[in-house]
Amino acid sequence: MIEVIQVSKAFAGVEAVRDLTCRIRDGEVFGLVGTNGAGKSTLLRMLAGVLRPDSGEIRIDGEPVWENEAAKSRICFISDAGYFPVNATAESMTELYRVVYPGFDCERFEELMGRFGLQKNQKIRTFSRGMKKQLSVLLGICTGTKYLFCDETFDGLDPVMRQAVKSIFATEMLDREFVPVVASHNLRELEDFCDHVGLLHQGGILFSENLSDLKMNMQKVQCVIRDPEAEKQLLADLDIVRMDKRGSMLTFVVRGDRDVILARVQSVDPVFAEELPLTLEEIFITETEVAGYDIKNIIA
Amino acid sequence: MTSKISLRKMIRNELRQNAWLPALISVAALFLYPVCYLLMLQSTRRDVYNGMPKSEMAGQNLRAVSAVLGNGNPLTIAAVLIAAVIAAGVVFSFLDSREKSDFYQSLTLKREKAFLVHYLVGWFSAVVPYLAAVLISLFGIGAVYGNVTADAVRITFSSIAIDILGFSAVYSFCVLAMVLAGRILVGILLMICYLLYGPALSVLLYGMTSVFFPSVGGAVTNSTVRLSLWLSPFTLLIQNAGLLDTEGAFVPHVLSLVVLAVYLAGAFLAAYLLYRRRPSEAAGNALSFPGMEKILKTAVTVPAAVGAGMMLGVLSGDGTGEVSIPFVVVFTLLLAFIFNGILEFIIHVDLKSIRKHWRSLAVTVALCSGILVFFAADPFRIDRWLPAEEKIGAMAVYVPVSMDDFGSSIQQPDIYERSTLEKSFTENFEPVYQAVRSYTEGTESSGSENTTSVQVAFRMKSGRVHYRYYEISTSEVSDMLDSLGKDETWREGYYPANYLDPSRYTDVSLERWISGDYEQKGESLSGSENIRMLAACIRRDMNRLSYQELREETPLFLAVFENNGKDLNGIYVENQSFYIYPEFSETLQYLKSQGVDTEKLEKTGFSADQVIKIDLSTSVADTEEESLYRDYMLTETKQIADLLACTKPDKASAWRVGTEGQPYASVTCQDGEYWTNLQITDQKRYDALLQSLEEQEDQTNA
Repeated sequence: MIEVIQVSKAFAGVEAVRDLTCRIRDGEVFGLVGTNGAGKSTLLRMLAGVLRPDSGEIRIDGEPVWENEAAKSRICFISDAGYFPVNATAESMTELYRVVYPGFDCERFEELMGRFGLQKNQKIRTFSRGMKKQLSVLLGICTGTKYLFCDETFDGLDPVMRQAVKSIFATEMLDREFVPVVASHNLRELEDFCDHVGLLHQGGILFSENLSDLKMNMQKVQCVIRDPEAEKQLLADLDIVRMDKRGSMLTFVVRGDRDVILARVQSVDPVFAEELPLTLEEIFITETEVAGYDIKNIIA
Repeated sequence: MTSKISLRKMIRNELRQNAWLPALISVAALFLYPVCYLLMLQSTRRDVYNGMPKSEMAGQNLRAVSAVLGNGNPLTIAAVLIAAVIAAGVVFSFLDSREKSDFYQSLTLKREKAFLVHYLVGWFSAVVPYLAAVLISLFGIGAVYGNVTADAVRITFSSIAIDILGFSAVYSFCVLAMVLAGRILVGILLMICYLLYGPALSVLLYGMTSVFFPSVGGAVTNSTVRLSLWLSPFTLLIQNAGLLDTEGAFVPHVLSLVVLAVYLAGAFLAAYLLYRRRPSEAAGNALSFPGMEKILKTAVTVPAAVGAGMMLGVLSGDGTGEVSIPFVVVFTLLLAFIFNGILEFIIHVDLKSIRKHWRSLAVTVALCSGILVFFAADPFRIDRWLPAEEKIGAMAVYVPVSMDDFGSSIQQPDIYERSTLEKSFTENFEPVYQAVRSYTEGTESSGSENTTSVQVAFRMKSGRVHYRYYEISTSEVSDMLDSLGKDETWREGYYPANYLDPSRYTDVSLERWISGDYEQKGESLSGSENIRMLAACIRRDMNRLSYQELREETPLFLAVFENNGKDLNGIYVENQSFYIYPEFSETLQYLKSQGVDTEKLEKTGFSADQVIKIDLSTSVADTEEESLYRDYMLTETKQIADLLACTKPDKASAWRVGTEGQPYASVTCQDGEYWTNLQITDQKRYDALLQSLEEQEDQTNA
């Protein structure tokens, strides 16, 4: 488990991360979302032991990460641009990674390279941006470290590749202790494979929740109710967090159990009532508005 | 769980990634050592083929070892500097890039281990190719040419030790610069700064004392130059270069090597400790530690502005080296703004930051102004320093132009000045003290044409010796020397004949002292015993005469001690000429005993009946601003006789009257043409002669 306790970091007087506290549990894919400059990269670099926090503490499995070889040996950090020496090929990168990550799994790497159709003898500088990102992820996965920190690594991947990576992550999580932490400015990209999401804004964490819990506890309903009094009573009875009425069509987001809410709606004899799918983005907007932030313009 | 990364594997991997660096250095080393060594040995073999005695071959081969593989090779010093800058710049270039920096800092390596890995990669990249090239030369090429001797091995290995020590020290300074910078360009600028700062500061100090405290400036030359050699690992390496004895063997400057080792340890330790504390976010910034900015800007801008201001002040002067102080002040303050702006731009890549950091600019300008005011005002009377008479044990003086009274163009190395001063201390120093007082009390203005440069040494009763340079009234200097010259002990310390080393010369040529194209050849004396005897006679004769007698007397002829190709291990020996005066009885007697016809060399003046024509060049206006000369041609016997009656040939330089005002004559005689300065013995008659020449010329023109 990774514990981030009241961590702050400033660059030239500008606070990039401010008094941030969160936990990343084992067995989860943790998504870190936020706009550009929200502090995602800074947090990941601090988690990887690259940057030293100005204050606060970061612990990896109970040990401080800064200048701690034992803690750092459980981490692989893939930065947003990645690092490849000038004339490197995938094969020469294997050599490098074998030296710096003694647990590097060459066979697995060969297998994954084949699956992704990447040439191991091709100069990496001739790769497209997406191919470089794929290679970074594959190298990171094959290091065999428990924690893999990916900074904007998925932003350049196409949906097919993202799905493939997701599948590899799932396999790794089944086979061994593996905790991917993925930072992105695009919430939609993380929605389909993160278990837990933290939303960063202006250096602070607005929100850190389990996705399935979020989805289970919030519903979106659209209905038309004939009797205004019954409609008024219904809205009063439910834990409405957001509501929109256009003509006679009423749409609301409500907190609570799905079956209980639908049964209560049916009890007022609506002309029409149905449950609408709720996107992660909507949940976040709703929750953060409830928390008092005007977040609509912040997340993509 | 601890790190499993093997340092050895990491170094090997990094070397593989930067393989071009040792490859490049190998190519350079190949040309620098094996190729050059081969060419030199081949050249020796060719010399033997062309007739050089085989006995000289071993010596030549050893010289080749010293010149190429030994520390006498100046190219090695340049190579050490270039290799250190490139190696440190390449290996630590990852600190410039966030991606690379993130990669390396996230690895399971403590920072100190990461530092060691990169440090050693750069070190091996340069040292291994160098060692390989030198050893191939010594044992490979040397074996082919039969030159693997014990001396060759000793010379080469002592040079290897010094070169590696020097490289390590310079490289550590460069690494320190890279650790303190976040951009490669800034890193390279910092390297230059670290390697040159100390010597540059020392030179600046010398320049400023020379300009503002002329009495101190000249005296501090040697100590400043010596100090500058100790202030950088690179200059220390230079200090050890070429320290060879006459056999070509290396004579190390042990203390400088110890200091070099201290520099190495200091720079390595500083780089190591700072790397541990270096924030990773510094990648891409100019400086790793923001706190350095103000110190760096001030430390660079102030001496740079003052130094460049001084240089521009000298360039804007009249070419005599005199500096206009107002110009220096204006240039310095202007340059402080410019240099501060350049540094702001280098650090922030934004000129607006100049306005933002106006306080540091104000501090820089204030410091520049303060330094200039301090030097110009001289509040501690550094330039006008004069110790209390009762504290002085003895004083010595050296007047360079006074050497003209002993011989024609006596060329003395700087060291002669110092040894003359050291050997001519006198406790009867009142004449010197009074002459110096006229300077310190400001009664003489420096640079005036009526003054003469004088070097003075004060030996205090405490034992300390202080050296000073002064510009003192020429008449006072002349009186001072006349007074001192009455003391025979002082004469033995001051007169140049006492410093003549006859073993350095192969011949003594005896010539007329008035120069000319006359046909008659001089006499000569050769043989070491003859030269030694003649030198001893001259020394004794010269020491017998007071200084006043020597300067007033007209010489008979010149004795020129010459070195015609005598090998003194490459040391160049200047000819030494001494006037032989009529009072040099012992010398004249000795020459006669050796069969030298001295009478035919004697020339103290001209006889009017032998002179065909005189071309006279004389000053007609002599002011501070200008010195106008007029030329006259005297062909009439009466005019010639008149001129010769009121003048006499003068020695090489009549420094007491100033060269500006002295007449110069080209005298055409029946036996050839002579050129000489003239000393006016009867000013009224001379003026009357010039007036008659003027009138004659006017009539001719009319």
